[in-house]
Formats: sequence, structure tokens, C-alpha cells
Amino acid sequence: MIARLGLVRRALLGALLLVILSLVHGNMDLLSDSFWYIAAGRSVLDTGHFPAVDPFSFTAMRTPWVVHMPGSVVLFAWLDRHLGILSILRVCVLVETAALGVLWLSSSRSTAGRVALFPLIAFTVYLQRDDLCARGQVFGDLLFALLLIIAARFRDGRPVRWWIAPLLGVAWVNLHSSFLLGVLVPVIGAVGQVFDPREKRHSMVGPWVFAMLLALGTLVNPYGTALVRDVLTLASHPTTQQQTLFVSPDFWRTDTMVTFALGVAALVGCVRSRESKGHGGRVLLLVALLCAAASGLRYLPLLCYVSISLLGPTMDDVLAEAIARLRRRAGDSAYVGPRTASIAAIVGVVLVAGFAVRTLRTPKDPYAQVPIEAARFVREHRLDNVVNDYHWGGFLLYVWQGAPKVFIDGRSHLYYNGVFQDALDLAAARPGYEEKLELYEVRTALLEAGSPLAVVLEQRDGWTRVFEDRLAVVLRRPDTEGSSSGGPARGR
Amino acid sequence: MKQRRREHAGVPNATRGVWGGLTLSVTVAALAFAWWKGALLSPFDLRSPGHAVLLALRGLLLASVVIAARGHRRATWIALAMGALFFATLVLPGATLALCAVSLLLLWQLPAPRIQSPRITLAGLLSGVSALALCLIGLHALRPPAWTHPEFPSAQASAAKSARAWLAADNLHRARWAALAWARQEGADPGEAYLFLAEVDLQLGHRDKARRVLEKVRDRSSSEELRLRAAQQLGGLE
Repeated sequence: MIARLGLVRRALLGALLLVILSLVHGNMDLLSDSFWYIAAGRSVLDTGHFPAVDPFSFTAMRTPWVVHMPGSVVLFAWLDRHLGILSILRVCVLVETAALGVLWLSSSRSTAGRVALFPLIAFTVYLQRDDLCARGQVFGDLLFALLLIIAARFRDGRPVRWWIAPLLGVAWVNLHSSFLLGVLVPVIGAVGQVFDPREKRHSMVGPWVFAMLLALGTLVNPYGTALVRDVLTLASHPTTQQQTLFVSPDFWRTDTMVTFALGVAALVGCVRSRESKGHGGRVLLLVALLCAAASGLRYLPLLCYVSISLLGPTMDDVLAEAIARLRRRAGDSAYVGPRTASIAAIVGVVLVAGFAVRTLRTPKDPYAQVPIEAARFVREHRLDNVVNDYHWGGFLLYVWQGAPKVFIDGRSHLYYNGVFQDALDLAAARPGYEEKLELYEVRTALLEAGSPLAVVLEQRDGWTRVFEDRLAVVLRRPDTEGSSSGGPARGR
Repeated sequence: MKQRRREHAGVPNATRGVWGGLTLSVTVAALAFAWWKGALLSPFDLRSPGHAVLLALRGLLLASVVIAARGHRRATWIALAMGALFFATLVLPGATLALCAVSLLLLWQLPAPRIQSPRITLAGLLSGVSALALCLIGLHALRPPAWTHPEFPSAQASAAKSARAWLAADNLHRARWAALAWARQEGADPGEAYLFLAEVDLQLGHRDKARRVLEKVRDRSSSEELRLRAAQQLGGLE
């Protein structure tokens, strides 16, 4: 009977894991960022080396191009070339599911605790629904989840193998630019312990050594210190502060409030926790993430991750107490027998698994969120000097491969020369946009349908709409070569 | 009795005084700075000056109170209240003052932390020295190069200054635009502006445009030196 119960528990957890997979699959898409990875990676696979300067944009700086996340770009290009573009989406779905699964299963030890934490995992997916994209961030999430397991081991006073740190550093710097977290999290945990009495501290040497070894590991990449320097510069640059992901969230949104509530609940869990050591480190880490989440949208999911990781043990304790109290009060007569519980669990597993499988079988269109037809139109008609929206630049450079070149894209570290701000001003059609179009010698515009710049250009003399579909419009100055006669071409 | 007066919850009053003074000073300084920058009573916006300091202050006070509240019989309620207040300061302008007042009051009531330095071991010493060395090396090697923070010309700058500044910032299109304005100022006697324009055109890949500009300087400039330079550059183009 006990063995059967164990099987049912495993089946239930497996079914819930399948639900996580289906939630991630339903919310993840190939967005523009995914495509510049492929474009950059193709260049590496074709030439055998990383490109020295950017070949895709006509406004980018001509300084040496340091390709961020070099491992991810090569992997994406390889998958696209050998297994097709959808394979990238599938791999990223699996990696993100693994990240959430690792976080979920490691945070809590009991089945009841895991079932109770499951809605929080589902909420984490919901929180990222607008931004969940097949890109290097999925690897960053997985490595962050692993880092939290290591941080928990430090808090528990358990040993951590020294070679894990440099390996983690090597993997992280090559897969995603969030590797700085690998250095900061152990350091914050160690510093926080200063505020604990000596008898309530674990060794402070371990986390420091771990952080140092991880930092050394980050130097193992195709560019050495140049990549680390580039990423650190980008993290603190004024252009980054203007990107949507790094702007403060809307605090009146429900999902933002729930995320902060989760952080506060984790804080309360810390003070209630029976763990006698490492209190200061946990509190300091949570407060740092609360402040980070207030400063940028990007950090809300990280706050969720850490909150779930810290709430897990508290959940275990609270549920264990509650179940024991229920059993004492109810006595044997009202106790739900194992057979009934097993049947209920099996029914639940079947229903949940059925829902998950149904969602997973929904086909995905890799180009659903990008203007594929408009991009092909521009390429086939050899239109040039194109101004485009920032969030489509990555996809356009993937389609055009440098002919024509894009105006701007998501690699903002190539646009410190004022182009980033000009792109924002153009997109919003702010006063002076006409002069900017002249000075960049723009003759074509590929823009999101209904965007401010698209609307004003359509009303201006000298601009004609030559293509439109449900996502994008292409506008052209008609007194130049390559203009079409008659009405605009229409995509699907 | 005398011992009790010299202590609160096992912490000497002198220590409490130091912590209290430090916390109060930091809080007052941060609030003053935020008020000076106009951030104290305005909606939260980290892009505005002063709000970053206020956010750091919020975090500091939250962490201080929650750490100090450990072991207190109402620790749960204190943590909950502080967390809720922290969030309230993000949505309600001016709630920061309430957070500061509540935090200072609680910190006065709660025992101050006694920071006990870690025991110095060989491993700790070695890792500390290595960490310091790595930090110094890292700070030197990882400082951002100058080109990542170029100086953009002000709106009042002259066309010549703008052109040079944009070229230094590696924005060739803006440099060309400013060079055109500079060249218009030179009028019928093509000079430095034209040579600059030709250089930018070359960097943009517009060889024909560059050639035409250089020919104008070679044929029409009143300065022999500039005519020679233009001729040399034309020679290099062919």
C-alpha cells in the first residue's frame, strides 16, 4: 500500500510537471531576439569565427562587435540549420520547464508542500507571458535555479564541490548575460550573515570562494575580459534604463502586486523559519530583490524564483503542522483512507495530464509574432535605407542578412552613438522626426501597423504605403527607385 | 539595576547609540537629498534623480528592521507590516516618510545588532586577500572604455564642433548632417568643412559623393594647402 501511494505521488508530481511544460509551451514564442541569435550564429558557423564588426546594421558603431551569449547564438544557429526553426522553440521550452521544475522540486521536500507551491510556479509562467521568448534567458533561468540550490546548501552548512563554481561560470557567461547574479547572490548571502550572532552563522568563506571561482570561470569565453566588460557596461548604461524590460513595473497591475506579496510572504517566512542559521543572508537577498523588482520589470520573475525557494521549507513546516493537527482532531473515523486518496489522485493525474497533452499538441507558428511577409517584400524589391521598429530589428536582420541593413535592433550595446535615442524619438514620431529621417537618409519604413510613426508618415506628402498585412506596413518615398505603382501589396 | 540601565536586551546602550545615530543620520541625509532633487513627494520613477537614493534607503530600513526583529514575539507582524509599507511607498508618493518614521521607531524599540567580526582563520584571510586582489584587478580591467559613453554635442554647439563630436561618437550620419551645415556656412569658398564632409562620405561608402566634394575643394578653394590636400585625397581614391 505504501509503495502504491509512493507511485501515485510520483505520478501526481509528474502530471504537474507536464502542466508546467504545457504552460511554458503555450506562452513561449520566437520573438525578434531569437532571430538575431540565429543570424549571428550563422555567421560563426559559416566563417568559423565570430564576426569582428557588425554586418547587419547601417547605423551601428564600428567598434569591434562582442557577441553576447556566444554559446547560445551558435547553438541556436546549429539547431536552425540541422533540425529546423521549431527545434529552437522546443529546446527552449524544455530548458525553461527544467528551470521551473528544478526550482519547484528543490524548494519543498514533501508532496503536500510541492502541491501547495505549484500555483506559484504557474504564476511565474503567467508573470512572464508577454516576454517569454526562445532566447538565452531560458538558460539563465535554469542556471539561476541551480544557483539557488547551491545557496540553500550554503545556508544549511552542507559542502559544495569547488569545481561546480568555475563550471557554472563558464556555462553562464557563454549562455546568458545574467552571470553577474552568480557572483552577487553568494556574496549577498555571506554579507548578510555579518548581522547574525556568531553561533548562528555558517562559514562565510565558502560563499566568497564560490563567488570568486565563478567569476574566474566567466573569463573562459571567446572574448575573455572583453565580454565581461561589455556586459557590465551594458547593464549600467543609460540606454538600458530606457528599455521596457528595465523600466519600473506598473505597481497597480495585479501580477505585480502578487509578486511583491510573494516577496513579503517570503520575508515573513524567513522570520518564522525554524532554520537557526543564515537568517541575515536570506533577508538581505530578499530585500535586494525587492528593490531590484521595483527598479525593473526584468527582476520580477527573479523575485518569484527566490521567494518560492525560501517559502518551500516554510510551506513544508506549516503543512506538516496543519496535517498533524487535522489528524489529531479528526481521529480515525473521519480520516480519508489511502484508497480514497489514491483514487482521487489518479483521477486528478489523468485530468491534468490530459489537459497538458492537449495543449502541447497545439501547433506553433514560429513567425506568428514577426512581420515575415513585410520583410520578404522589402528584400525581394531591394528596398534600402530602411527605418524599422526596435523590437523587430532582430528578426529583420535574420531575414535580410545585411542586404538591406537594419536601422536598429535589440543589440543595444552597438548603438551607444545616439542611434538608440533617435530610434525611440522616431518610433514615437516626436517633434524633429522629419529631420531625423533626412539625416539618416531614410527612404523606406517597415513599421508596426498603427504605430505613431506609421500613422504620421501615411498622412505626409511624399510617402506611399507599398505593403500592408495584419502586423506591418511598408512605406516608401515615391520619388525614388523601386517604388511600386498602383495600390499597396497585401500580405496574408 | 545599574547593569539594566546600561543595556537594552543585552546590547550596551553605547552600541545602541551608535547604531541609532548612524541610522538616523543616513535616513536624514537620504531624505534631504531626495527632497533637494524633488523626489521625496513625487511618484516613484527611478529615472528621476533622488529616487535611486530613496529606494536604497527603503531597502536599508526594511532589512534593518526585519533582521533586528528576529526572535521578537511579534516578528511576523513586524515583517508583514514593513513589507506592506515598502510596497506602499512605491505606489503612494510621500509614504516613504511613514516608512522612515515607523522604521526608526521600531529600531529604537528592538535590540540593535551586535556585529561580531568573524573569527580570523587562514582560509578566511587567504580568500579575503584574493577577493580584494581580484576586485582591484577586475575594477581596472572591466572599466568601461570611453567610446561607450561618448559626449554628444549640445544643441547650441557650432556646426563644426557638432560634426567633430558626432564623428568621435561614431555616428556617421549625424556627423555628415552637421558637416553639411558647416559646409553651407563656408559658402562659395570650400574649405575644412568640405574636406571633413568628404572624409565622412568615404567612411559611409559614398565614394562618388566624396570625389565630387574633393574636386570642388581642389578646383575652387582659395587656400593652396587645402587644394593640395584635396588633390592628394583624390589621388588616393583612384
